[in-house]
Amino acid sequence: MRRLSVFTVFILGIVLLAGCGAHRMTPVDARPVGDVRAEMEDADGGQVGLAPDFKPAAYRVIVLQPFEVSASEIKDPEDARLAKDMAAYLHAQLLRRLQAAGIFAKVIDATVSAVPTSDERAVRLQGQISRLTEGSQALRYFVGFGAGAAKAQIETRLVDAQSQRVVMITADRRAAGMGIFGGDGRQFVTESMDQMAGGYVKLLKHLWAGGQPGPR
Amino acid sequence: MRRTIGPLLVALAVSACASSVTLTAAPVDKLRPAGWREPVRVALGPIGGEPCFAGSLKDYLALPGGLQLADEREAAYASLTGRVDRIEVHSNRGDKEVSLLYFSAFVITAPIAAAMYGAKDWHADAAAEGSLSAADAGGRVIWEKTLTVSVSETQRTMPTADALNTAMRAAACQKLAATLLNAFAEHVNAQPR
Repeated sequence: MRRLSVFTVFILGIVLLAGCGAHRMTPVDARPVGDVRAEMEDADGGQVGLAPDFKPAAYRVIVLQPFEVSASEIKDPEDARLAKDMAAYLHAQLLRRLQAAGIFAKVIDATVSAVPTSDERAVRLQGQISRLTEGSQALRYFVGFGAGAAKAQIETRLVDAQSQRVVMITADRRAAGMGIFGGDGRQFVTESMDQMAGGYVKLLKHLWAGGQPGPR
Repeated sequence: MRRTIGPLLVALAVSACASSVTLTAAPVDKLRPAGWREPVRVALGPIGGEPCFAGSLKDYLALPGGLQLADEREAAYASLTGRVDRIEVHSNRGDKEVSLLYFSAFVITAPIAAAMYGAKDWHADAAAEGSLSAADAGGRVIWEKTLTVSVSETQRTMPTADALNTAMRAAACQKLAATLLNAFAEHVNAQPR
């Protein structure tokens, strides 16, 4: 009986630890840009849309611009602080991962430098955090089943720096509704940003190596 | 025996917290733009908010190359003023500590506490929001920027809340100061000379 109890507690502990975290969901109301629609499902980047003549390998420089947060997600000063923090957090994660990935000869942080590059063709990475909420820890703990879930959705655009034409768009979304005692909403949101930044850079690496969006 | 093991484990879990933490995230480097004309010296005016921001600005300017701090006898290219409006640190370190204490409270669940101590990471992020502006000798503002920066850290160690807070605040201050000054250095470098 005692062995069973120890075993049960172990299993409970493992479930408590392993069951936490953000998971991917289908993006909601991802906006098309011109003729480019995010309709292809990619294993890393979420939903992806490419311009028909987009040739990734031609671009050796990327300029990372700060992401904006949709005005609809900001209802009070606390939301405004979270929006600023998460835009900065996502920017830092994307910058770090882009620099580490070795896809581009130059990764330019537009918060420091807006200097246009010389002869090399550049793409500008712009985007928006179109959904952002820490949810409710009380609802996650007492109700569960998705109630009070923390949610985040990002929509990105890659823009040819010379022609200003959008060559690729993506939409990705995460939700987290389970954790120890309901879990911490901010941790869920930062984890979502980590996952989406990581997935986006993996997608770029795949495309720049000649791949196409889709399952891997 | 059992009565003593529980409190002992709790005491161990609490006392195991390290009083300092070394962040793995590298500080933001000082920008030394190509073709930089040396020296460009700047004066520091009033810097508001938490003292770590003024300290980080001075530390940056003291590094060789790029922007330098003007001494009192020199004419400065610009005078910098600014402030840090907010530094916030968030982490789930406390969740790990509470979970450890919770599982350490009973002998039967103590192995879970031990496993958690060795296997569960904590994650922290700090945001710093502030501004910097530069004025020329006539007091005219020639450049200004407001920015929010973020630093994050994930580790398996178990630092005290104070140690983690101090390290994250210092890292956020450094990143804000260095990013703003790097942006100003880019601006100076882009001016026709």
